[in-house]
Amino acid sequence: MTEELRTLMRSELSAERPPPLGDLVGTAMRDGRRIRRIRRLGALGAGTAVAGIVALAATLSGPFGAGAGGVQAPAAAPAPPSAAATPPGAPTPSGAPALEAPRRLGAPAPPAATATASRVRIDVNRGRGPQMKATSAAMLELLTRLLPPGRTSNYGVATGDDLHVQLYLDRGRGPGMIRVSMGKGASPPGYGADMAELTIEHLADNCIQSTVVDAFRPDGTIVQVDIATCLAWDGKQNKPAGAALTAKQAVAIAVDARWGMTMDADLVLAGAKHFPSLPEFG
Amino acid sequence: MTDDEAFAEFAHAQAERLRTTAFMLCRDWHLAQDLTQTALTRLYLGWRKAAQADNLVAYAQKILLRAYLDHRRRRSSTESATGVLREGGYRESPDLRLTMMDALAQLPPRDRAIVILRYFEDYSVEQTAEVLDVPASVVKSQTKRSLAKLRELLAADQLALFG
Repeated sequence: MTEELRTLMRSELSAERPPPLGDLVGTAMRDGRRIRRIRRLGALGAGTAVAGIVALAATLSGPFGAGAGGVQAPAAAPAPPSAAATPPGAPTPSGAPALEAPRRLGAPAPPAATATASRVRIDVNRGRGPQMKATSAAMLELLTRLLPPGRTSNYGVATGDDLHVQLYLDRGRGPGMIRVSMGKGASPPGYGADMAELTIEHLADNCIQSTVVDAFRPDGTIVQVDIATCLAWDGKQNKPAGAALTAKQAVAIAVDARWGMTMDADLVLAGAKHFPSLPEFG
Repeated sequence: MTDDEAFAEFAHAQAERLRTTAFMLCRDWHLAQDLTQTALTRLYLGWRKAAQADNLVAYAQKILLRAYLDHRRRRSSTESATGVLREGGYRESPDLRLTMMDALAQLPPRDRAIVILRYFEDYSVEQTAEVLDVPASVVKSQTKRSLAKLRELLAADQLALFG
């Protein structure tokens, strides 16, 4: 039966007149290189319209402001990653100002505003113990330690070899999706060994990257935190969801000194233990 | 051989096959071209990991399938209208008889993919399950259901194939 079915399919296919294949391979390679360049530059949303970039300086007054003495990296505090509810008093990104509540589903999107960036001081000496090559599992390990209290679930990694992870965080209003990616820039920004440049973008037409925070770090590492207003594709839709973090909370995560192409060995080992196998998304 | 050279060699060898699979899924050559382009770009971006796959062709097919399902997610009805089920009577005239491709188009996207992988690409149940990220039991049950559906749709002279 298998052969007959295949023969029937091929017979019908043979009647087709496909267009020339063209330079599919060359175009794929050119597109791939372009995407890599964009990633290296921290540029976002290739092919998507960027509604605007919110002025970070205005958003992050106080300890996050560039001229306010810098921000200390969030304190480390263990929080085993699991689907269980994070216990009360679990770690929050310390050093962050009082955090605003996540935007509720259906609430108006942040205004598209002026485009600018800001710089913050990070504690580059923090958490620099023995290092190992960064892994997706280590990223999830660190991310779960940095999140505000809530139930985490739906851990995942991107297809391919990118350092790009996903989880849901439910802080009592239903799950919201967060994705974090990390890459090495072409060259480190040249404004000091302990300063990171930050951008916050709101993508009006991209619910997976409704808000995107990028931290361009002194060693050239780019850490990107995506706050979604929908959940991952479930086979039928990207179900709308509330934002699980505010931009300030995402910034506090992105500037943590422990992100990097190498990460603390304890994070890598703990990640491998807690996330031995991760499903792929997108 | 550099990564780029290795990718180019693989992609040149497999592009036509990938596009044919894409066409089987969507029945639109232009969309098939786009899906193949997307799949190859994703493959290029993750080439170092892909190159370590036990079955690189299956890995590429997996990316293609995901590109197709992503596309289905983003659009509502841009696929070929041949996917619309013709109401009763199509077996009464040979001219109105459904082709195999028409019948395949009646299946839900994942079921269609299962049939194409199993019977066009000749993948095993396990390989199909791996490509589609579903349990083997789902592949088995959906295959059975899909063949029954195809049997129901196709004209009598084609049914013999499913004996």
